[in-house]
Amino acid sequence: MKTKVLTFLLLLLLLASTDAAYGFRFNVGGFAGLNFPVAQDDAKMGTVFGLKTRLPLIPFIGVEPNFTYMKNGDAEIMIEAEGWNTTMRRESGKFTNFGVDVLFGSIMGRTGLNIYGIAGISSSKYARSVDAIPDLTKIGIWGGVGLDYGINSQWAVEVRGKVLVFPYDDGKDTGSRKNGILTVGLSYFIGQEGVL
Amino acid sequence: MKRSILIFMGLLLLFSGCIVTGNLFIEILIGNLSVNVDQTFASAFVDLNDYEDYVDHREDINSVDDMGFVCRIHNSGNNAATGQVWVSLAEDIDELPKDKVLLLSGLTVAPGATKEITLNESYDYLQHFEETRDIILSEKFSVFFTSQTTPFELEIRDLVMILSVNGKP
Repeated sequence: MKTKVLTFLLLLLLLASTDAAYGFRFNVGGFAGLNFPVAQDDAKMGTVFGLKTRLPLIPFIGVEPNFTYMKNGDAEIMIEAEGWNTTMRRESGKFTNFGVDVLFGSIMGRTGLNIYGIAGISSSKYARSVDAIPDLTKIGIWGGVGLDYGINSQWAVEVRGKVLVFPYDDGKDTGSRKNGILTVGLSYFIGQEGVL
Repeated sequence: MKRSILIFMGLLLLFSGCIVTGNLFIEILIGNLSVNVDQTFASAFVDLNDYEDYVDHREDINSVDDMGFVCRIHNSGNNAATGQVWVSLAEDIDELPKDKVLLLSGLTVAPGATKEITLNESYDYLQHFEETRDIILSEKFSVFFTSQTTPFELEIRDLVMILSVNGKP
């Protein structure tokens, strides 16, 4: 995973350092927040953080390659069987996602308030840190909405709500895990405002 | 702006179709099993249909995502002993079945001591999850307790299997 993250960062730096980078407008940014497992007794609210770069294709549509790491909070289970009647903690899983989102709406980083929709896919790995239980790597599906506030032509703060659907089907087992995430982020736009 | 909202609403509808499944815990009480040099293994037969939590969700369960255990192991012998838990589709308890899967290994207890294994600790001893999952999903199976060291005089008490299953909550 470290290699993938380093490669991602290197590509971002490379992109930002080219002359061509200033011929169009794009951004790089990071975000952090909370994740909320949906209908999962075996996971609780946890943390999320990530990196992304926004590449506008046309004024209202852009793509965002991104890396998102999510750690579910540990679940608590009441053991009701005879002889116990006690609450125990169960270490929960973590998701590592390398994805691409499509953004549609006000995505060009204009000063002031901008709102846009998000739909994406990712290569997502769910790991439990238990040797006997294999990690699952599947295609994750994302959707959500984002709100940017452009402080000036370069900097913007953002708030996003997204949902990850992590479906799995290995021939025997089928199912899915869903997580909502709420993040706050900071982006730096490269290129002049009003230029694609 | 209106187009963005329409697309977003469409996506929400798409996702809402997926949000009908979730994960829940099912507790399976296996109970107490004692072994010693004269009786080298003990077993318990489990029929998941005897457990209300399972029966309530039986038709909606898609998968077993993981399994953990809680138990107490008491060593009444004079030597440290190491217990093992196996599972098998066999119902016959006259002899250890040939087709069995090692589920928990390395449960070492000092002489005269009782060791409590919590849910999180049980994952350190868990073996062969996928093979065990297939046996458990058959609904009827046997759980065997034995020792991998001799001599031994071990009892596993209040053994509970905890399944995290994916299905309609």
